[in-house]
Amino acid sequence: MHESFFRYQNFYWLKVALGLCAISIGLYAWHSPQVVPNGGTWLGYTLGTIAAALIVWLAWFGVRKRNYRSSSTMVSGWLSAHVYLGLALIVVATLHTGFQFDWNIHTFAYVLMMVVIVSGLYGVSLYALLPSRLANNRKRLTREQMLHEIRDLDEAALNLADQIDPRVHDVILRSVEKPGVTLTFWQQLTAGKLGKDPLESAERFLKGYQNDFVDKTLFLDAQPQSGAQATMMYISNVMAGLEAEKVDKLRALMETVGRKKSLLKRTRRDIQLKALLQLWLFFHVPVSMALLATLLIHIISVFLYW
Amino acid sequence: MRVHIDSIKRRKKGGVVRKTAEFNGDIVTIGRGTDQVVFIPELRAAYDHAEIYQARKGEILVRSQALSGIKLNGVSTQKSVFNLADCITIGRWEIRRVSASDDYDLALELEKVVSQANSDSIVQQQIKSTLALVGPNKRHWSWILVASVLIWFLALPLLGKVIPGLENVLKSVPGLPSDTVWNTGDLSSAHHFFRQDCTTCHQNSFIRVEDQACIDCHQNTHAHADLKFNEVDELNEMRCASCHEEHNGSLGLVMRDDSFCADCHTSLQQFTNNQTRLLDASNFGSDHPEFRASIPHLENGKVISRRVSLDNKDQLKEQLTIYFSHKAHLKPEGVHQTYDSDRQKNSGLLDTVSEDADRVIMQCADCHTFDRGQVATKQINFEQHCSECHRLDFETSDKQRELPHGDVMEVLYYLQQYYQNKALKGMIEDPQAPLVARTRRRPGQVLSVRQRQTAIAWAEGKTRDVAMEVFQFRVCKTCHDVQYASNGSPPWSIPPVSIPEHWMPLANFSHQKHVTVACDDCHQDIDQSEDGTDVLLPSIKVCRDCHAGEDDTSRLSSNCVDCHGFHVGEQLLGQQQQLKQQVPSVNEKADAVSNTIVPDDSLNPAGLEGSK
Repeated sequence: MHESFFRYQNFYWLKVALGLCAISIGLYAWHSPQVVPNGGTWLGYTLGTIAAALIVWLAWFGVRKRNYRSSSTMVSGWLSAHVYLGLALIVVATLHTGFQFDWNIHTFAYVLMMVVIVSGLYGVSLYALLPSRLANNRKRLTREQMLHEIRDLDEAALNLADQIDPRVHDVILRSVEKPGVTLTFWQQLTAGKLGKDPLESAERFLKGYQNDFVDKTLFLDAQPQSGAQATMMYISNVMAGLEAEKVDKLRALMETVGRKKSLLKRTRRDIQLKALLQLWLFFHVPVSMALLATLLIHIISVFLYW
Repeated sequence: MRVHIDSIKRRKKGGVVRKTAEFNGDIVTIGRGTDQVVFIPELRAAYDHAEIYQARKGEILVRSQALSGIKLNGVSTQKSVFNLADCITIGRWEIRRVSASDDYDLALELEKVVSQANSDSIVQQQIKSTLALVGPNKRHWSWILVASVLIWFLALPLLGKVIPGLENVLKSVPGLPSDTVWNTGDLSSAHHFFRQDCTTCHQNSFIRVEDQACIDCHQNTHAHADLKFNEVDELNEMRCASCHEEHNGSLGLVMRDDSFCADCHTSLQQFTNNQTRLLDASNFGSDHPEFRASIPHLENGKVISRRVSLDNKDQLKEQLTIYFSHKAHLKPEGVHQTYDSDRQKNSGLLDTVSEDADRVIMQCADCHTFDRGQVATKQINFEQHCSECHRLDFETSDKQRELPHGDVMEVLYYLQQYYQNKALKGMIEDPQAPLVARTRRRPGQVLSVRQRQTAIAWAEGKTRDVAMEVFQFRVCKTCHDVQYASNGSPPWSIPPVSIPEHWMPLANFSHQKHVTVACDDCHQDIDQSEDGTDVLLPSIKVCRDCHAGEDDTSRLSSNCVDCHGFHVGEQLLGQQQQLKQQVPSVNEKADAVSNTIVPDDSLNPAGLEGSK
């Protein structure tokens, strides 16, 4: 695994962020404002400018990240800076407020900022936890390999089913046409089966079908107890000769369906884990944009009513 | 139903091969079975997968026989109307309904969609299956949020300022945003009246609150110092809001920070081109000059004050005062009541009467009283504070009779009238008096002109003698340094007395706040003072026993503003504003005044000059 953004260049950005926090806290402790600490003192303006610049720069990461010409090392560096400086923003912006909070646009901007940072922290924790789960689930298969295998299993299952019974084929066909690899937003997140899963019902049908079938050929595998019995069994076995072939195919079909089922489960899990890695961004990004707008209003309104 | 069925096959090199078939019957069957009308040779089709038929109303329907159903235009279904240009998909096969010629009721096209691609595309789609593809669009959400925030918190409040009437609506309906959402913090309680109307102070957009906005209400507030003597750029550049920071709630409306004062007052000469006589100070505990008492004196017949440092013992003398000994009045055993002790006891003025009824023990507060919470001593006056003991009697035979206080001429008139009246009435016991003044008058008796002249001549002489006695030896002379000039009219004069109400008018001291301290804790050795010219104010050292600078932690930390006001200039702020606008250059003005002599009290607040 390549160098994690956590420890990028021996925690370079962590050190920068801690330095920024230390300087901010030091200045805040040393500063004796005219009245009380607030955003309108020289230190307030200074910290506010730094915080605003940081917010814009951190938001720029979203644009920068898409620039594929930059190497992965660079992206890793940017992400490292994004995370650590984003956390430093908690200190810088809080000191900028001078701990003055109220029901106004200014505190709203602060709250949005904290929401964005907390959602970012959630994202970081996902990046720490989920990749190993993803790898464990895939077991060195790619998503494409899993799906192709499912497709192959589908074809094999249809083939077998066709040779057993049109009713079996019908059931299997339904499970093939309704593949159960979930695609909707909610399904991706829950890895869930909404409504009746065709594969589950196919499996149940096959079990029922097998039970019926095995009843008819009950003593296929039984040991003859007497001569008369042995004769009876021989006649039955000859009559059931063709049926025995079907039994094998039925077993093969059930095994195929079972394999598909487990593969499908892993695929769903794969999609779910991937989706979880993306979900927080649906929150983090729009709220970041709202934060930028609120920040703009914060700055405009402060100077409009200077 | 007559059905036209075209089987289409596309060649790799291009071009289409069509095989046409015709079917006559009610139901077009579709499936893998060889008996099906539309034959689909694929495992993903059931033997009899679906049927196309005509309903009674004439519309064409499609119905799936298989559990897996069919896809009609990409949507899974079991039964549906099959319209023109619709497409049924089964496995990799597509059955499209096309427009039929007049000879046919229905026309279908059957085509196997290019091998593998159909099924692969599903795989491809699922490989890429990410939230970004199916989830809400982040960009859209961002724009929606950004637009909402901008409209709600910026556009609406701005519109309220532009569109007449809208602002009232925004402010009166709870929940709607107005410019008050931009409020950076609560106002001080004195300004709560216009918390809803930001433009009371913020009159111009993107311009810091201007002084005029404050002066609009605070018209009677004085400036700090007068521009004509203090051409201090720092002072000119200051705004009201430099000190009075709003939006910090109850905090901050009055700035208490010493460093703000010290910026100028550590080297005030430099800032004022040596025009000030104020001494430098920056910290009460460590850098503050000895107090200076404002002592009234006479100059060209006018009473004006001069500031004398308390450690300048030679000059620290009251000038316009009386003969007065604190020591004599504060004797522990009390003072003798010369006259009429019963009257004094009943008067309530002297509430502590010793067992020896002739003696009264006096307290400071018997004479020195204060307005509640005020800094000034109430003016000492004869009638209230002295007359109970110091009676202005002049005639031993008539001790109830007292002279008026305050005016030499009044005293002379009083004496003249008293003795004339007495002489004319007769029965005077003085053996030196003429006979007419001594004899008893009979009822209805009229004096002759000569008799009256004799009586009045005696009264004039008596008046002169008694006046001489009271002015020069006894009553007035007890306290006043009475001057005699034989050619004067009147020959006696009493120098003006001026005991200040404010000894240090540039500082605010509240006795009320110090009631827990005994008087002589600060005003030390008062009971040893025998001279009325003694100035008995406590030195700064006495204050520093309890008070220290703002950063001190062992004593009471005291800021400049605890004692000193800021708005103590003679000019009003508004006047100074106008002056600022008139004066083109501060430096020019400074040059113009640099040669002028600055009066001693140039920095004193109004009212100090001419004190009594």
